[in-house]
Amino acid sequence: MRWITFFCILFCISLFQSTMMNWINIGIAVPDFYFPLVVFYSFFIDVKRNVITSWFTGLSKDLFSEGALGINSVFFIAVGFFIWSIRGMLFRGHLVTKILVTFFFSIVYNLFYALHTVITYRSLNISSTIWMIFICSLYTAAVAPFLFYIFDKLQPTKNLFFMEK
Amino acid sequence: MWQEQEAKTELENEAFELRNKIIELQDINYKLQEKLSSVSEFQKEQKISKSKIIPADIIGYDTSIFRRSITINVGTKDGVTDNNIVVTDNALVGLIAAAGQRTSLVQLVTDPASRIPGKILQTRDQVIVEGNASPYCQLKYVPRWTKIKTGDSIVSSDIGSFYLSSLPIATVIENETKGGALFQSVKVLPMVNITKIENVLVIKE
Repeated sequence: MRWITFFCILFCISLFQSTMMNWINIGIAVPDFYFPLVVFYSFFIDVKRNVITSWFTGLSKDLFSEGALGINSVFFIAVGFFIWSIRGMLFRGHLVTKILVTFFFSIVYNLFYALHTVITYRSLNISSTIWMIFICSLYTAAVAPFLFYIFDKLQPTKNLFFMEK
Repeated sequence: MWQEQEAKTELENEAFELRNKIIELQDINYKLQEKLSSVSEFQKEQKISKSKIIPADIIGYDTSIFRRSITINVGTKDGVTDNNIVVTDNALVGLIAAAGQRTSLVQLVTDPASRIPGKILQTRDQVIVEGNASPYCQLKYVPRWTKIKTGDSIVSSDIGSFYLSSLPIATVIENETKGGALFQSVKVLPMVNITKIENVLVIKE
């Protein structure tokens, strides 16, 4: 696994996500470019490296976001670990698997994050939050194939398969 | 003849008294003008020394879908400190949540952690403007008997000494009184659309 490539991808995602948000959103739907990166590495690398990449991805998101430092790291590690543990049951090379896994786990991650926000600030509106989670996850899943293609080009997955165990 | 002399003396006395009165009033006038000029100079000085306005560019947005904040290109080196107010187009944008050396994080009015003391301009009722991670905010503690209508303006209140008084925050777009509820449920649209601005002003108190 090329760590420099990983950090370059992470840097580019952080830059894009924190500056171009208002150009890529559709109404309140905003894609999360960090999430497909977590899914990508959970699909193809061993658990130790998966935890490290998820931690760095979450930390990077935390640095560009207001709120408790480390909360995204914890959620990304949990999501990454769970995807890693069930990946044996999935046909990882298929496009539909990538989209569905990104969509489903994005919903789960956002629900947990919303729960954390509700407990901390008590100011989210349930119906609008659920709608926002759904369309943001849908948008993230829609851009996932494109991101997977880029990640695949930069970090060839066939070189990662030896790290599966 | 004697009566005429008496009337003349009386008129002369009256004229003398009036002349004295004029001098006295001129003196009072002069003193008051002096006082007025010193007060306005004091006010001017106070305004200059108390508030400093720092222009800033927006250089980043929040990466989380549940938080609403922006990053601006001024920090403690430019004189920005935590809790400074951020405005644009004479409307409230938010509050400096964390000031770094060269950049600062601004918590927007739509952030779920944002609570701003405000008042309804038309009814003068005190309210709290609360963000909820959507493009809208909600008003808290609006009594059910308050006659609020669509288009009413919400301005900031200086209660708590965090915000300047009477800065426009939002406009009422929807209100509803649920049966049995103590307070109305009011949805407001912030005056500032953060997606359409590039610059802000930081007001340093």
